[in-house]
Amino acid sequence: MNPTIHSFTMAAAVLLASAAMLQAEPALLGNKGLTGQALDADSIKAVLLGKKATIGDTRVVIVIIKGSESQEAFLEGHIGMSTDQFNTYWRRLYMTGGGSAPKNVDTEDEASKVVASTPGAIAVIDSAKADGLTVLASK
Amino acid sequence: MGSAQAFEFQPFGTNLPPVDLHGFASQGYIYNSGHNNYLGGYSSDGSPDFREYGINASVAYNKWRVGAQFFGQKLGPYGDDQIKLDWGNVDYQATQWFGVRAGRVKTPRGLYNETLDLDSTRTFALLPQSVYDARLRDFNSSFDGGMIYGNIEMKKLGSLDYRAYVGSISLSPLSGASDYFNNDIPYPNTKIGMDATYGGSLFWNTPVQGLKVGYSVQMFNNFNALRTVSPTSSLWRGTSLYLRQTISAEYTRDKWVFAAEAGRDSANYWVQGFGNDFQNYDSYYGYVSATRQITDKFSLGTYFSYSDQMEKCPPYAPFNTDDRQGDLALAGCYNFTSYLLAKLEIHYMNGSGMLFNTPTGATANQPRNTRDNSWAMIVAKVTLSF
Repeated sequence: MNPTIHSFTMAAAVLLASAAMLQAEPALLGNKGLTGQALDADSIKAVLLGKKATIGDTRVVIVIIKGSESQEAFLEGHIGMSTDQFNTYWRRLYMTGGGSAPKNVDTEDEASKVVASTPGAIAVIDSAKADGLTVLASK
Repeated sequence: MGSAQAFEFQPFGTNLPPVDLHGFASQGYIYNSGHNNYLGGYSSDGSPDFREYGINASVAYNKWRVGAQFFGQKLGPYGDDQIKLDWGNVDYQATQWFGVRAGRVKTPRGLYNETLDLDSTRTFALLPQSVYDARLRDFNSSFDGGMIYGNIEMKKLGSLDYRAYVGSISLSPLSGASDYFNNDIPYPNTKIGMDATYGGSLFWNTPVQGLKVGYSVQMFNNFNALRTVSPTSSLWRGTSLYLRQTISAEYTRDKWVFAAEAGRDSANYWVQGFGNDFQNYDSYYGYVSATRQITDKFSLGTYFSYSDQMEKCPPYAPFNTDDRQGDLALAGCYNFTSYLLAKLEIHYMNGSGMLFNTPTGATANQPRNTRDNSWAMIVAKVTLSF
């Protein structure tokens, strides 16, 4: 390959990779008390569906955001539910003694604050807003 | 069916977990065309005796959770707005695959038995009555005892949810269950009860996203009732084992939910003075349903539900019965807000096999040969929840 073209290609690849890193994507973020815990796809599903009530020994508190596109995409991808279906699923659990109710908030900023201040709290938030929170899983 | 706003308070201080408070209240109306009184008391004239309400509180800390719900209802003559403990238990989940729950526990049976009263989680005002008979709520809803449960991860094969329990159910002669198990002849029960109930359920969350299938079984040990047959005499009628089995499937895809369940109840009754196997009871039932979320606020649903209850009395063949009832329903549900919704449902009923013929009250004087066998039922309901 022509060295000029090669250099150009490499530069473009680096730029694209940097852009991808900077680009926000939905991530499952947790309270800093959950640091060191990484969840695989099966664990994400088990936690989000209340099959697994704790991460480590800490009770999970799910924070649901009203009308968040990141959350919608993440839930659809991992458990095949919309946010509305997810709310209904959880209502069936906590109204019948089968689980602890999630906390509902209006915005991602609010969710970040609740997750930061609540032991065991998790939420699907834009990864760009991960400051001070633990990344449990992305995409 | 969005989220409802909850109340949360911290009676133990800010360093300890908060107490979550939730509740609901619904008021309905049932109208049956013709002269059958089915479900809500004198419903052939239209009846508002159709409501449920409950409030629950729970607190969770690490692997422990404690909670309780108080509940009241009126469905025709049943419930009478008396507030009762609906569920109240202590739960310890040791791992994903093993947990224990003890106290008054919701009975796992089929897809929706644990959520009988949760209008905000479904389109229908009435669940398919062949499987979830609203008059049997006292009998179906919960038991006092213990249950083990868990979820077993099977990687590419999905996962298994299991539950197994043992306990007992307290029943009143004034309950719908008492009338249900006394429907062969209209003599009143003065006592009804059982030694124990036990059973479980196994659901496979298949690798197909949104599809689960399952099997539930429930047994009642020494289930019996004392029946008054004349002003001066009573006799016991009972069965050493009442067996109830249900198979279930539910498939959720995009805005659609499809469900189907089928079941069988069976028992051989003895009657005091007439010996064992005096009456053989066999009931087959099931439904298929489909619902679709049309807009964020509005959903539509339909089901066909069918029940066939057979009772054979070998020494007295003329007393053999075969009671059938089909129910084709169309329902609409509109969510005004996340905490307020309204439902309207129209049923075409074919057959009258699930009607009661009780000694007194709205459902008295409904012997089989006087019933309408083709009629319409309209159900409306408004529900508040938080």
